[in-house]
Amino acid sequence: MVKRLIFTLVGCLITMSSLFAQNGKVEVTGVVIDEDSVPVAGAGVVLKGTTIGISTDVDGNFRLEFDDRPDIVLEFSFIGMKTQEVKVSPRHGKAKLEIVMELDQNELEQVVVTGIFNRDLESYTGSVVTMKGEDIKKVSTTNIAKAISAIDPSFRVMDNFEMGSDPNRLPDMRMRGTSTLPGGAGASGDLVSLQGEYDTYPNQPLLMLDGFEIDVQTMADLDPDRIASITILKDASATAIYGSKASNGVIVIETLAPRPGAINVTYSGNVRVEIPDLTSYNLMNSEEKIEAEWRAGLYSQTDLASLRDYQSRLREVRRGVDTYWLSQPLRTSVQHRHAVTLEGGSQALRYKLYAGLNETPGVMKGSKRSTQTASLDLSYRFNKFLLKNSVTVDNAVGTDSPYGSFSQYAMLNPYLRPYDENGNVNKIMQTWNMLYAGDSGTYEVANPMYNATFHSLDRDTSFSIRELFKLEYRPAPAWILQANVSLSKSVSKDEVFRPAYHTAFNDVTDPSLKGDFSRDQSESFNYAIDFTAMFNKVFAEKHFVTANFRYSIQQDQSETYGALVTGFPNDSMDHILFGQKYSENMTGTENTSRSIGAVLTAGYSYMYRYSFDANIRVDGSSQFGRDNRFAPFWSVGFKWDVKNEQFMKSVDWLDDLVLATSYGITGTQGFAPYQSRQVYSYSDLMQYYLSSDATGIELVALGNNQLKWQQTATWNTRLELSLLKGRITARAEYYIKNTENSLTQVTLAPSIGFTSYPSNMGTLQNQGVELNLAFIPYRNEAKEAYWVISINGSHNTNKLLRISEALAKMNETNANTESVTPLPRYVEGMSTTAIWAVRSLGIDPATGDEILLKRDGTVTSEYDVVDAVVCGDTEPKWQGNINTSFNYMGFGINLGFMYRFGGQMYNSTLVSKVENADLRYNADRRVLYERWTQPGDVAQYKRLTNSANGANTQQTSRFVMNENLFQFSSLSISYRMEKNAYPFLQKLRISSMKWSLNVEDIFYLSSIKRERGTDYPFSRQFALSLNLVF
Amino acid sequence: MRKIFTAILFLPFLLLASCAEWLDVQPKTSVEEEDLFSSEYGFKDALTGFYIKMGKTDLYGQTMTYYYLDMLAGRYNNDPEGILDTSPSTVYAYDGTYEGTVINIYSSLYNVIANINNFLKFVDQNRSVIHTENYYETMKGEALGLRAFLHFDLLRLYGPVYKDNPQGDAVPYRTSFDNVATPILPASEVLDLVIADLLEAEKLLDGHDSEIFNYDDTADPFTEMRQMRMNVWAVRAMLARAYCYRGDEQSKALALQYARSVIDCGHFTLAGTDDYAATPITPTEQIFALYIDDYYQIIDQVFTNVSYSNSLAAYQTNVTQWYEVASDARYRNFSAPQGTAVGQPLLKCNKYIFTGSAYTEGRGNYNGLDSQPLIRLPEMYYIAAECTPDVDEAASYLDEVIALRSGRYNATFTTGFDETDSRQIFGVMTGQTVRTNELMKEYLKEFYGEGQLFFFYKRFGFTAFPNCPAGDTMPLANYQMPLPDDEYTYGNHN
Repeated sequence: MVKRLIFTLVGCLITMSSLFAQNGKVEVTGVVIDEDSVPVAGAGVVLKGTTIGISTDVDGNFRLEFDDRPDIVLEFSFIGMKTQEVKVSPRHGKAKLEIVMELDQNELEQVVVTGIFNRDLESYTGSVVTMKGEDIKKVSTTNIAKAISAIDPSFRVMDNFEMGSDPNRLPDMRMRGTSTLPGGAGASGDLVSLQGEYDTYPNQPLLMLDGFEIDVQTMADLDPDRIASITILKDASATAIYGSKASNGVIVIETLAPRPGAINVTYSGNVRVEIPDLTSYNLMNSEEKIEAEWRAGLYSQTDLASLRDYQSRLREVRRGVDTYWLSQPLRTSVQHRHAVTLEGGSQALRYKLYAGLNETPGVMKGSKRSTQTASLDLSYRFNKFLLKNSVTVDNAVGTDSPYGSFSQYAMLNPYLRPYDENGNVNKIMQTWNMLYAGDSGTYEVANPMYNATFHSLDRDTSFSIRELFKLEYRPAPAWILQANVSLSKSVSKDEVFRPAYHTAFNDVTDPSLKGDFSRDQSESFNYAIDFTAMFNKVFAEKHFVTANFRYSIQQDQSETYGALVTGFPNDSMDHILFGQKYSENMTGTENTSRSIGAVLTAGYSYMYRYSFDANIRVDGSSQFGRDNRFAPFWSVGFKWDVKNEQFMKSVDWLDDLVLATSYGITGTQGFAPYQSRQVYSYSDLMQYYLSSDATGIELVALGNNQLKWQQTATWNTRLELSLLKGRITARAEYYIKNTENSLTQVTLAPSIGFTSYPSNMGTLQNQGVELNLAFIPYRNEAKEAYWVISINGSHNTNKLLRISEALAKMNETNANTESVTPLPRYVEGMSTTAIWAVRSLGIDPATGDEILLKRDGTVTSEYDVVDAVVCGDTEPKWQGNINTSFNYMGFGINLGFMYRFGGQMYNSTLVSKVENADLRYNADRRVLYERWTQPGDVAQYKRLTNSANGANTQQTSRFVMNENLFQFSSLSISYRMEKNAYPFLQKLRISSMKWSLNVEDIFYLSSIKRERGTDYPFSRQFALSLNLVF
Repeated sequence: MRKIFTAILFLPFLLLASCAEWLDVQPKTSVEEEDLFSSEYGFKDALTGFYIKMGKTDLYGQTMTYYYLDMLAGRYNNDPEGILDTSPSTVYAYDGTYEGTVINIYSSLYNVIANINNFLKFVDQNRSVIHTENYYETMKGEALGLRAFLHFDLLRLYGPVYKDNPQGDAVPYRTSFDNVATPILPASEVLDLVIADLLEAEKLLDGHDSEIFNYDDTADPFTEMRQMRMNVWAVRAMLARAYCYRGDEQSKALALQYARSVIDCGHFTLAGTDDYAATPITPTEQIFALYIDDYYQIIDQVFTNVSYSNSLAAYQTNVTQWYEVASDARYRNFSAPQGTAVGQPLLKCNKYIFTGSAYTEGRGNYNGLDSQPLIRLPEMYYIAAECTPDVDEAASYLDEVIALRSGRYNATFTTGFDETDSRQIFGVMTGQTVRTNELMKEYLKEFYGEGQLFFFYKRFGFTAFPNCPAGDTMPLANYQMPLPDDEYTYGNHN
């Protein structure tokens, strides 16, 4: 049977048939078209119970002649659509008829959406995971990245212990480990020069939304209700079509297409309650704190002033002052999202209008993100042409809390009062007259809440429009030709305003410098034009051949400029125009990049048993060096579908068994390849010079003409298995990813004229396994009842396969640099996530000092960074998710758990908030206990001290701990009500209603007790969602 | 239908042909070196860049002139950071408080040198694109002259006290722009290379330099106001400096010869008392200066629109002592005493304040607006006075400047001219010869705010000098700044 690939089959219309009998023969004619009114070429038409049959022609027409018989039932079948039986009788006469048919939802999964070509799953060799919008919503109502990570183990959202649940934070995502060396290897600190967003997220996968390359923010703001599907492209066979941007994996998001029919209104909305989660904090109360201060020796017993300080603070404690500072900047926030969709249309013309808004105030007072989105999709079909147009408008405003960093509140002493007797915020709360040895200074402790008592701004606003126009032409059943034009424009601004009384200006005297307003404005305009040709054909019912070609050109242009103005005496002057003094220079950047890509994909499959795929892409970019404008990327893949073998047909307990492997070369996005060249810039020298009519220009950097393009070779093998009619499915993958010529900056002697230059630092290898298992212990299709348990997990090891000489030299230098945080080191064979520390034997009961093990095995009490060895690895042995869901009729419940074990972590809370705690500020409760006090004590921590650096403990193995984690990450309960079953819905003119309750981050059990959410606390989220179809 | 189809299929290949060109875009503010040096204008831009870079605050627009270098020479008793009024000896904490400054001067100087070396590579490689007559020689000569000028200052800062230890390790001498570190050379070798570059520059500039030292509307604007560029006379003045620095008899003779040639060239004239009062920056004396656009904005922050406690200022008692007579035009240029540090009234220098009526913008006679002098004519008189064996001639060179500045005649003390001075100079027994002390007095007065005094003290190894931040004795180690650690770690050890 001829297969044909169709994008958006939602239903199928069979136009049936004229039938008339003549001489005992019956002739049936008709046309088969799909829901888009497109003629379905090659659809099978079989007279039921016989072998009489025919395929439809290019225009979907068929004509069938056979002997007359009593029951004439025709069977129509086509890939992606439900097989239909149609009863025909001679009464139909001679006229041609049209009938609508439905799409088969399960069959939809037969198509792989790669974002460039749509491929037939059965012959596709690449490793992809597709999830539907529904799956996403079961895990999270807001956080798409988190939902993806719960479904597929290859995708991870890195823990962000600092930013917690900040509504303006962006997820740090990665697939299958990191391909870029982490920063910190060079003396200069900034290791890798990356561009734009990849500056912060060098390992982020490429994100595609309906054919657009999008940034993380756009994905984070996307309404999960709009998502039709998300496809993760993992191996080279799948990603090579993205060439130079593919190394970190690709995530393809498709939004829902308009559905035909009479006007259809859908409302979806949710209300979310977010409650701060402070369970990871274990701070002292005022009684304990004053005790700790006394015991640490912060007060001198012989100094009167110091004793007076102590007494006054103690009095406050006795008065019962015990401020829980952590809760001061926090609130329980109520967030909501509303969206209305209006869609419908005829088979030829179809439309969809979406309008939605999302208000997300965070748990810290004043922090908020609000977004508004509207989109209009139109599609028009005539004959063999399809025209589609889609416009999306996004508006977003993100505001940061005026309360500042949450960590400031964790530091404040509980015996301090936030407000004075009149209820005003105290500006300076405490002054320490330091009695530290050799320290004569006084330190004032300011109230961070003070800056929230007046108006200030820290806001970024963005507005963007994306427009996509698509023309599709199907000249013959096997061919699809497409032309796409996409445009996007965005404007954004970043404003920070602090009036004169902000604490940042306490030391400034010049009134024209007190108070400031900075504003950065950016604009970007991108366009892309693609031409695509796709060919799919089956020859002799055995040989499936596919060939796809795309040629694309793209231009991205962006411009940023900013100004700083000072002198804002009061907080009502919250516009940059009110400033008294402009900073001399305007800041800004301008960037234009252009690229051209040509992709060719060829696939061949024999009986769907053996499939072979090859991709080749040539990328040309203005960012590549001029001698080297084009870079090739390629992949090959092979798949063996064992179940399709003749000898396996009889094995009925096995539904599916697939083995596939692929190899390919892809590139890493985000690098500025013209780093290889020596570039001059006017930026800093645009000023007049008296004896010259020229403008100044200077070298930006020392280039490296030997610089090689960083690329990743991936080898991937996978096994897919399905048993007992789908009751057990399993998928296992093994991969090796070698990132060659990993780029970094090498430090230079300053006499060269520049401090560093770009260089290839060696080969980084990621190697790992991924496992997915799903069971269906209970299934009753009649009652729409399912119980599904799925378990997934992954393990990745990351090591340096080879390092360059320069890097080896750097290691020597680094060994001499002291630091309290773990130092990454780069040695061949070494994991890049290893934790280096000096081995510790614990606290000496006799002296209270830490006993350390030198590298040669001898014992010492002197800390020397040279003795640091690998004491752990932050990469867990295994991590993944367990999900279970139960559905019965319209009712559904879903539970999601996350687990992780076998990794280590350096517990920085124990170091900074316990042993090295500066006791002028509040600290972890453990500061008081298990401390060494006198000879003979067997203690876990060193003695209490009054030094600002606490015990000044360096990085030792005492604080490297095993991390085992179990998190109940999501719970959702949903119920769908149809109007047939609930008459009251009919009265409300609602055809169906679905409500659901989601709870996120329910509990977090970890073998390491440390503070999470230091700059912005974590939270628990409860969401109640409602979906109405009118 | 088939035609359209074929057309669509072939369209990409048609486009591909022209795409290499289409891909050729660069950010607007930057340009690749090959493109820059493919036109004469690019060379002009790059050359102009050297001067603008030198005028930045981390080099001659502040640190290397009136600020840090003059703090080291004891010119001030108060500074914006509050170092001099609390613990003055901290200014010599090259590994501590001033480590960043010391590293920054080093890397900034070499950064300009890197730009020069890349320019020099292309100036020969792409000589064919430089069409205008004399441009090739002038530009290459200037670049070589600047390379020598910058290395000479590196030598003076990071090298040993030359007269005591000419073979001591100084700095690398960079002649190419690449990632290969070159060895740290002994001071004498650096000096030889400085002189070699200067001689080559002189050869190139001689006869090709326009030697226009004023505005000239009839001239090519790239060839007027030559004192703002490393002109042929600036190169000769540098040769006088360099030979004088080497200090052997033969070199001294050469220094004298070059100094005399500059004095006699006729392009520069010493400013009289009246000129001085109008434009204390003394534009007619500038042999080499930098133009710094809107210089007042930088200057204001240390000399003008700033309270005394946040300014660079010296005790009134010190300034009065140094200028000897109240009639000295340079002394009159100081502000009236205001503010105190440690109870003493302070004086601020008004040399760089460009608000006087003489400093009008326009293309009349050059008035020195927004300029930072780097080599001035009096230095040639001082070099001549230092290098001539003839005592009377030496005194006459010094007296000529003194007379013009203060109206004093025959002020130079010549008794026992080349013997150790038994006098206290400004309250200090320096242990130097009478000639050196007489010179010191003039350097102290003349180059206020120009950074030359510290180099002078270092050249003679003064173990004591007036208002020394280190106290009564100046340890010789304070004269040599250490190279940045990275130079040893990543540099060339052989």
